[in-house]
Amino acid sequence: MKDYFMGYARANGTYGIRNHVAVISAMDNSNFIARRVNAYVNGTVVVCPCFGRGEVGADLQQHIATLGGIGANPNVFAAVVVSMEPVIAGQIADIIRESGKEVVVCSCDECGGTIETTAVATRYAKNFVIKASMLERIKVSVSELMLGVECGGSDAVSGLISNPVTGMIADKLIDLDGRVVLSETTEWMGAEDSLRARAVTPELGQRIVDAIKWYEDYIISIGVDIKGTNPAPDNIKGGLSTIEEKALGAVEKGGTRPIQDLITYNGKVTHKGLTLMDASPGGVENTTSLTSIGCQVIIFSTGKGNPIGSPVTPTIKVTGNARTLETYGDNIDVDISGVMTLGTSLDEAAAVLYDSMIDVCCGRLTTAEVLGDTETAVTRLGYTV
Amino acid sequence: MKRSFLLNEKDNIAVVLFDAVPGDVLTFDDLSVEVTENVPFGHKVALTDFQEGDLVYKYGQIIGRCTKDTPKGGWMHVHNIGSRRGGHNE
Repeated sequence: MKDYFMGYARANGTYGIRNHVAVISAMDNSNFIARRVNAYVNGTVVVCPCFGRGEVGADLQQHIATLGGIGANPNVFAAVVVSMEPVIAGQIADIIRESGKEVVVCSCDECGGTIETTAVATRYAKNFVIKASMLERIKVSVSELMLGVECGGSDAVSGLISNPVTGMIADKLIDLDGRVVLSETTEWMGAEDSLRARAVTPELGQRIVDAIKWYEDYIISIGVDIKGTNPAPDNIKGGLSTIEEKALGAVEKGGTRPIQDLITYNGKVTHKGLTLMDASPGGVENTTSLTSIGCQVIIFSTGKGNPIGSPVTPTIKVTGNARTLETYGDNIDVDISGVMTLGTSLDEAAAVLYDSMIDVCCGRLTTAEVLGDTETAVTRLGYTV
Repeated sequence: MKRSFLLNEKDNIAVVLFDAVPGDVLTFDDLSVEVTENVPFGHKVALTDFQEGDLVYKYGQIIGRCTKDTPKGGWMHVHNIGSRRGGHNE
């Protein structure tokens, strides 16, 4: 079992598993420029949000901090921020610059329309990619990894196989002095007792319970039945009857180690070990938030299948459902369905998943990266004004 | 090959990883249950006679409340299990 990977050293002391040049659109009104640059320049990844224009207060700050955080992720070598106007783009770029990376802003206002902006951004991106290509991977301890765990397209098999096996990887990485982040707060609903018991202080345990209650109160306040959204129709078809059942399976992917902290969306992970993040359970929203706080790799446990990945943080799809390999196999990176079909032990499955994670950290591409099945969504907090 | 899962000794349901049909028998140590209706892959089989209002246990924890009397061997899902969360605390 390897306790190291081959990664890229960053100026701020972090280590990336990719060496991306990120083309980041500041708002939805410049996404097409970012996509054009990405299509033109081999070796770039593209980050396109919805919304941005007209956001205010905490909503706007979350938009800026999330995009800036994505650019500051250790997997990014340098970033080009494209935009309609330069002020918000500049604030996003400031966050990226603070992480020690090169970053430029190309705005339509300053460059003169979309054609010129595309040309200027393309030139910067090209030069960054050439520069990035000269950086070599070095040996890095897995203790430098921050793993995000996510589940999506969940079914009953997720809670039986791929979530507990993902949790075994979380435990293993924590035992090797690494960091793990578990989020998707709604999907802790019904698992409060075990989460509270694992919190390092009673106060932290109460904060976790309160965070879950916030979502429950919200659902009650709008008079909507959570069933049909969470669990979603595909989860229900896969055998999950209630949010409690889904949650008790979902939290398995966070393993069994003590919970050190609960951070807000875009909060800073300050502890080794397991941190909880209060973030939405939608796959794209959650992988966006895990990327923004600096996770270099995500293990995405799926039951019936889910295609989504982060553009910046390699997102490893693992399933224990043999039927999913037949129906959704193109989008699966790691097959541990032998637990179901061959009697493979969870320990053996965990060894396969761990080795696959190290391979991906050393450069093996994930399906979502190769196919470009990646997307970005910043969680909204308010209305546009 | 393990095809049905009883996850915790407190559980009163089991999960089948095959499409169970009436007459299939699930065996767990000293417990044997004959399936009485079609239960799809990944879904739950009652291991006891459920009365409306009974708590349903999986992973040794409560996943909801039975909303309709269901005999041992029956299919347990959204038609006879209700969440106790999100305003459904009754």
